[in-house]
Amino acid sequence: MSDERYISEIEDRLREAGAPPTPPAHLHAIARAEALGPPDVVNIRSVVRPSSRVGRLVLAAAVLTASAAAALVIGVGGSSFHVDRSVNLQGAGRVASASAVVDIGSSGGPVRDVQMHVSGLPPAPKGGYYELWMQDGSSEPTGLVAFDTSGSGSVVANTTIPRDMPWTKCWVTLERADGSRTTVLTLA
Amino acid sequence: MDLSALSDEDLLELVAERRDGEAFEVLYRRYSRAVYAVVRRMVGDPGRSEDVVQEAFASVWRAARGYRRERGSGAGWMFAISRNAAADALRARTPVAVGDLPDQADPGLGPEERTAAGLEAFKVHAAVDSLPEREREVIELAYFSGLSQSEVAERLSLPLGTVKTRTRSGLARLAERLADERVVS
Repeated sequence: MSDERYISEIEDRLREAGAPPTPPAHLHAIARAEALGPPDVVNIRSVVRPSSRVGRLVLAAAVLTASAAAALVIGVGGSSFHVDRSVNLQGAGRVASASAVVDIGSSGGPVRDVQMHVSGLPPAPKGGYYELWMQDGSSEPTGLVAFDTSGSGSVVANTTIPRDMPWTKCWVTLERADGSRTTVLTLA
Repeated sequence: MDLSALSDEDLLELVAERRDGEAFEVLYRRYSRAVYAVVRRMVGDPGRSEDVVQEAFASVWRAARGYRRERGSGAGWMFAISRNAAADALRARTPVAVGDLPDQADPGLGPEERTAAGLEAFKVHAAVDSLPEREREVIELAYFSGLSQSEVAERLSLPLGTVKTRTRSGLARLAERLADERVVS
């Protein structure tokens, strides 16, 4: 087959295949964690939000367990986490005194570690949980990690984001068992 | 060592034998859009598709030891993993209905033809995603978005000659890759 005809056939195959849909940015970190294991004990798969009340209760229980385990591990373990940038979040509404610092790690590969230190945020109501979000101006919000706080109102939650993930907004929501949602922490 | 230059088969062997996370990352970058496209086409729902893609890549990590290059290409194996993950999700969700069988045969492609067409698109998408970025962006704008080469040049603020050169080299690279995959002969 001649080069020209060969190239022409490739062009036809490209047009027939058409543009593939682009997977959401957060899927990379989730798929990696699903295959290789999560970077820490907080379950980043919890960005999958169950629609049923029972499902949300189960998820909330899982988040509570993971958060407790995370606190234990972080309390006794060392860390090679290198902070590239810190973002301060401040409580809103009834939890105005709550705050959080989101530390975004330096890039050591295709992902960046993210570590969030929360304080003054009371535990979520029964069946609910908190979730950290980021969003670029033009994209869908990306749920990064679900968590709950201890009785003291604090927790350290860990997750990862793709190295080049663009974002301009960062906030935390309370996800209730009935499916409703309230923003509780916003950029300070 | 730059793993991005390795073949799919070499990457799968690294995953299988050394549990190499970087090899997995290269496979993800090379195949994530192709896998997502197959899954979205079969499953439909975006959220459900994300779960299936997660499961598909987890299966790649778990099952890489079962891949044998003498039995077929890495792309074909990845396609089978993706389809199986989507099929499992559909089986788990959809009850088997026997009451509403159609009166006439579907005039469209049969299951085998649909699979063949899906596999071909899958290999094309993965081949495009294995191109160097500067070639991939002109190929995508020209053949996926339907822009003329002048429009591609304007969109990317590049001289027309550069766009033509990158297009040509990208097509040549695709031809080589897809000939290996037997999409073109």
